[in-house]
Amino acid sequence: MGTRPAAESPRPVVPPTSRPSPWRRAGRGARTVYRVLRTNPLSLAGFILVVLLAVAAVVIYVDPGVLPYPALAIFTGPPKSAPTWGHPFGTDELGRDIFSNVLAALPVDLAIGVTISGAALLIGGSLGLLAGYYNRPRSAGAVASTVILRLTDLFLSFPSLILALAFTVALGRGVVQVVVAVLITWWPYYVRLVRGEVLAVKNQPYIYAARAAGVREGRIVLRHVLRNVLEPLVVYFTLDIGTVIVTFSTVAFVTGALPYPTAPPVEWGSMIATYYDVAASLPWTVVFPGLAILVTVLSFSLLGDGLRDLLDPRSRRVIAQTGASVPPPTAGPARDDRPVAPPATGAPP
Amino acid sequence: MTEPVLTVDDLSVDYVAAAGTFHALQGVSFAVLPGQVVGIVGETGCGKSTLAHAIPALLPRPPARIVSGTITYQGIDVTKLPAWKLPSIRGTGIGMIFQEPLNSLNPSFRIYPQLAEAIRIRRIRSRGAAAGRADPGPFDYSRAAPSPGAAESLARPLVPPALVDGARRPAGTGDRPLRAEVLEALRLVRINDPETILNLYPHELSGGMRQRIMIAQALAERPALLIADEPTSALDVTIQAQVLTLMKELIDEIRTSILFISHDLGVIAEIADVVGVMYAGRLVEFGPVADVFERPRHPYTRALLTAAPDHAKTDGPLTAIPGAVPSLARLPSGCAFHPRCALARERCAVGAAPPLQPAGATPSPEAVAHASACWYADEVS
Repeated sequence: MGTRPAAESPRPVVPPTSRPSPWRRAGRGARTVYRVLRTNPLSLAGFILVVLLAVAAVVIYVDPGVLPYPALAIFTGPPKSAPTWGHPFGTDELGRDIFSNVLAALPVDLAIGVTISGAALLIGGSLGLLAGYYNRPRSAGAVASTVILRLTDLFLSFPSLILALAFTVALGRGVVQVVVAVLITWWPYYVRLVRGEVLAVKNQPYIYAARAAGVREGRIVLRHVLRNVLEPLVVYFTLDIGTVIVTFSTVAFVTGALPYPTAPPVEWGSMIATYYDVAASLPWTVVFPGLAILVTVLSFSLLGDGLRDLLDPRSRRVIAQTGASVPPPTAGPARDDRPVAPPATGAPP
Repeated sequence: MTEPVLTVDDLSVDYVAAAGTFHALQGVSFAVLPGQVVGIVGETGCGKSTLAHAIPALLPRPPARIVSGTITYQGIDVTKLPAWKLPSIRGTGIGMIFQEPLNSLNPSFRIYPQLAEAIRIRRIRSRGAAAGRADPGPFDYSRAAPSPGAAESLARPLVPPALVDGARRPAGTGDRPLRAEVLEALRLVRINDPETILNLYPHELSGGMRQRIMIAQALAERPALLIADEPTSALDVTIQAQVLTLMKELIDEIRTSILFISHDLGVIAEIADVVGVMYAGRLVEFGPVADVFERPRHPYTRALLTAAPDHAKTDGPLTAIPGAVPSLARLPSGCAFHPRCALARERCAVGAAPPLQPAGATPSPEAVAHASACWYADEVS
């Protein structure tokens, strides 16, 4: 634990005229992020991995030429080759380079994970906010709220994977079809999550205080309530990206909605589905796409745990200052304001 | 005669629950004159907080239901106002300080945006015609010089400077006048180091500091009426005294009408001009503080005064009122206090509750009459 010396010189309060440049502010923000994440090496690893994956995905998307061989190109080397230096993940029966294809799938799978989770977050989140906040009995909001919740129950009453498979089969082949099918089964979880959090927050005294101060209802919902709900929501969203990638890959694997060698884009789940038949003789063809899924999901899960600390002002401030994940007794939450002997200078009776 | 800031007339509020209908307020009537501090005392569950929340229409409806009565603020009946117009009454018109200072600030925001929001609301309202009230303009803070004594010691630096370090985004650098007003609002409540406070989160402040900031926030909107719902109850005794001292000083400085709710007779005696005593949802006595406390005209008030713990007396049991507070769902007939009253006779137990009647002629039109709701008021003292 990098506890800083207690006798550090206090920095002067920033005078109201000085305005740090955006760069310096960003630098400070980055340092706070680093300090908080450093206390938990696993979440720091998750953070680094997610950044690396994202950068790699952008590079591959912008310039597919960085791949050792073009995606789906056949006879790039000897067929059925075990991993070698030239083909680190081996080749399949037509000499496709597994390494290049796994990399080519990276931007696709990340984009799918973020898109489905993000759309579910927006759709489910807004519905959950409505259902949670506007539920005063015998109001129009209560009716809307009931409709939203029963609809949510309807979707949640099916096992989501089965439902996603059914929708995929009904909608047909193609990336968009699978994305829509998974999304249909995905948003209800966000309704439940957000509604629960909103119900807990909406009767807090600070919401009443805001109302008493004359803040309008719309602003109370979008600012005072939403800000307090956001923290668990973002954590869940991050963890969810991994889950979505697994589910998407599973759906692609089971339904064959994305026939790998014939219909780009390349996607990990459909790669495994395609090589399933030859898994016994060419194990590397399924092991490496599987590992790619594992690493991606793991990275997001680790990051999600770290975000919990980062987003909570309470733990963030303490960790950023002391480098300790547990608040030391001296940096307790509340300031002690017992009166000390008042300065005797010029205090009129 | 001066126009009252607030008139509550025959207000009755019920809570409808599965266990029955609870009559939280019954026929409560009183007025708050400009610059007056009206205290409301009573036991837990006598309807004090319901009254405080009913005035700015903050009661959750349902379960609350306004059965009858009017709440007139600046000629507007608040009970008849549609929900979308309520924000224009709240804040700038009727400000409020709550019982729970620990939870009344939003934990996710630093102090600056919370205070700035209040001031921004006032500015917006004053530009449009809001609730018929002109913006009094920036408050003359020069009169609110740092106070001597206890208040000063409270405003020492809150946290070690190093702890503040992590968040040095200079809040509100975009709007200098707003920032200046926020700083002044904090200085008004005797916070010596407002620059530091601005960047802190509520959890980094103590209860006393948070209540101070709540007071600053309520006053920043320059309300015509400030409702303080047990503002000191959640604080420990030392901090309570400091917040009270602060409020007394502020009353002298800014002359806002205040409705001060408390269960503490000592607090009311110290701060209020006029006091109302509540029992089981009714106002049983109302009058100038000195009159009510020295010559109570309702047996409940007298019993309450007798039951107040005496710090000089160190041994022996405390005096208590016999019996228990009746359930608001099943109130006794007649005067609600009669089962516990030493003066009770047959007349007290039957019919309607005795009305709140002034004792004799009012000495002058400006003065507040001393009224009580007891058939035998003359026998009490």
